[in-house]
Amino acid sequence: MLFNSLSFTIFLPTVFMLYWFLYKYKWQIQNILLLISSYFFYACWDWRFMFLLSLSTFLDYFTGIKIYQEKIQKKRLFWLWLSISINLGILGFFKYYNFFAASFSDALLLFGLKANIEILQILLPIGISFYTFHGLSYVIDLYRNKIKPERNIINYAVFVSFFPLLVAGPIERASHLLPQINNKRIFRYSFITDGLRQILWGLFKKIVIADNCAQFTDIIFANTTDQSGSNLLLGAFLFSFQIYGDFSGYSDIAIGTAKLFGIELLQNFSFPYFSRNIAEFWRRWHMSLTSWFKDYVYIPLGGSRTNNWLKIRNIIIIFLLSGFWHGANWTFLAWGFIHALLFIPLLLTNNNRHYLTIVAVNKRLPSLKELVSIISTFLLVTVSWIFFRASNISQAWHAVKEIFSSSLLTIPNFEGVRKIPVTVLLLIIFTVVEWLGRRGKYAIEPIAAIKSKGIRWLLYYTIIGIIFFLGNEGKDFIYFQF
Amino acid sequence: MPLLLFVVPLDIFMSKTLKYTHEYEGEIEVWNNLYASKINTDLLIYGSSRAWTHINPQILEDTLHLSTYNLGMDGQIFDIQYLRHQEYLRHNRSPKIIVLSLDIFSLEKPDELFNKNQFLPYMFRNDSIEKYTSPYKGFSWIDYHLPLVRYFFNQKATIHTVISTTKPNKENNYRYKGYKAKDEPWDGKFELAQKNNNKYFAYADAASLHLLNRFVAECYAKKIKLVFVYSPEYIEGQKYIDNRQIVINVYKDLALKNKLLFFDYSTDSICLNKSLFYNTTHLNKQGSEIFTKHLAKDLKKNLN
Repeated sequence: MLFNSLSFTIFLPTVFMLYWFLYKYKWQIQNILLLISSYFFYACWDWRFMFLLSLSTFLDYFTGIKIYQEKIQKKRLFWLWLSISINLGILGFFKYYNFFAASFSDALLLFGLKANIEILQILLPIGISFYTFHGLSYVIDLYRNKIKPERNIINYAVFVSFFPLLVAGPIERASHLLPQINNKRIFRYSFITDGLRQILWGLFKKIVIADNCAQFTDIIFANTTDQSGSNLLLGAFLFSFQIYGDFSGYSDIAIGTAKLFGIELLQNFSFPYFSRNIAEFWRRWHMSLTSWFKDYVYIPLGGSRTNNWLKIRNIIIIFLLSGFWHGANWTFLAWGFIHALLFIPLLLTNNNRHYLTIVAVNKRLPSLKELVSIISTFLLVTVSWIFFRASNISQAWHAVKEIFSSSLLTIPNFEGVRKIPVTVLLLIIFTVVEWLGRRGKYAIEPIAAIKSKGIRWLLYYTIIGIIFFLGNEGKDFIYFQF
Repeated sequence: MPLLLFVVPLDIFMSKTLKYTHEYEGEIEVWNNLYASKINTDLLIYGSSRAWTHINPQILEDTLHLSTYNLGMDGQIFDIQYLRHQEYLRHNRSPKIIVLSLDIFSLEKPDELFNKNQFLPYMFRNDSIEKYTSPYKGFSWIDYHLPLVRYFFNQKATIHTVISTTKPNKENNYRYKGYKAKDEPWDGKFELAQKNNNKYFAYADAASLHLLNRFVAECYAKKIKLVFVYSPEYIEGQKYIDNRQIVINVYKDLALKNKLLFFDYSTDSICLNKSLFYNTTHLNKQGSEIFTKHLAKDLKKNLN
């Protein structure tokens, strides 16, 4: 069930009405409703994987209690590693088995050896990377005595499977989400309207921005060998907007949907394309994953409070892991490695924590220096997206080489290029709105502060009109595959 | 709620405006003429793009002295052509003669509805259009029954409506009596396909064949003289369809069984002359004029 589908427009209001009707009774009953709805939501993709989700939930629930109860350190560590190994084992099997099998076989071939390793037809359970990371953060935080275990299996299961975040995040932390699940939620009108507004903006990003860009990137990246440098550069720009609109749009819909149930999720994006360097970009892009890797991998490795070589090692590890988390393909590893290379100079020159607030926070427009920094960061990110989008490394490498060839100077020409001006116009409008709203949690948040009800509604109807009349027909969210 | 109040007027506005678009290869102006009962001719030409770009009604009119209109539809297979035939009869007088231009893919059944936006201004609560277009991917039930919904997430239609508002095609003159000569150079797509050795295997869908049989019977019942035509294709391209002759034989057998005239130009000398085509299946302006004269002569000889 997609957020931008007809079935979700029936599902969501139904659950919403039932949820607040049950409010009169008990919040625990609301949790049971959330759990049933979440499993139903998940089963709409493939009911068989509900069992895997349940297994992961029971495993972390059980090992979590064991970690907390055990007084002997070794035994606590045993339960922690049991949970980590089973979680990562399941994730590894479903997501990475074929990659490792094929890579191992290729490596043996280099030495003239032939291995008969079977490539399995494995269907990737949707959202597995997200709910596995939920569970892992829970058991690790328990081990670190940062939280107490959740004794109520229903509440814990809601934490893992809460439908707005189940398939593509944000990756929540038990310390943030469980207390909300364990307490009575109050119906606050302003919170609900804020949620609806954020859903509206998420839909705009997905249907108008991402899906419009997708119609061109699908053509351009389907066969990069026949494309000119100008086509490929345009494709890379469009993909930058597509992936941002797609993933941050999903996050906005997820966060907005959770607000309808009185629950606040972690912010996942904060205007990343207005970043002045790569370090700032990573503080603003997929924030819940970045902070997860920081807390559970980077800091335990020593973080940046160590010598330069170890700093470099840690950064490379963290970015390679981040790339690998996205998928079992060398292209994602290359994408992560490029970001590591862009990040390391900032870390070594102590410039990685330079920009902690949004650009031009007290100004209407950026300075020339800020503008140049924003554009150059965006260009670097755009080039890295080529590796993310390409089917394999040679395709990505060919695209980069073509972009830096004389064919860059030709006029872009591909099937459907005639429709480009409308998409470019929409991207300009989108960028302006994002710029104007960059101080909030999402771009159209400031509409709430407009006193005139007429103007507020005019703006909402304009956005709705653009979604319906200039949006494109529903496509899957990119991050569902991760 | 205020949005709901705009739904019906907006639907009417968009549909009216879209009727004056320059897009969709002139299909909309043919629909406009058809629904406004402006056609009412003696001779009608049915078929795909190989009908509306190949057969010049004026030449047939001049030779046969019968009013003629070309109802050929871009990229459409027979059952959508049949929809146009049904709609024609509902709004215009019955013709005396129908020339049905057949192609290798006439009886195929693709998954998606081709050029679906041409139906937008006319399809709301139109049972015929729903009956023949709903089996394809393109529209769902609510598109036919709820106002404005069919325009949602259809950026192309929105843009064309906006363009039509500022630059309407009021004269409806993209095609002449449904015909448009394509004065275009050779497009080179064949050479690309040749390089990739792309072969095509045509097929006849059973339901489409049944419909064609029904159409033949209906024409007979209505005393409409039906003529089958297979117009020329460039000789080199013919090799790339493995079962071409088998499909043509289906048409031949049907014509023979029903004692219909079948003018098969699939091996005509026109097929040898590349300069008369702009791709392997479509004649250019010069080619279409030569071919229509040829057809007119054959029709005159056989119909009298």
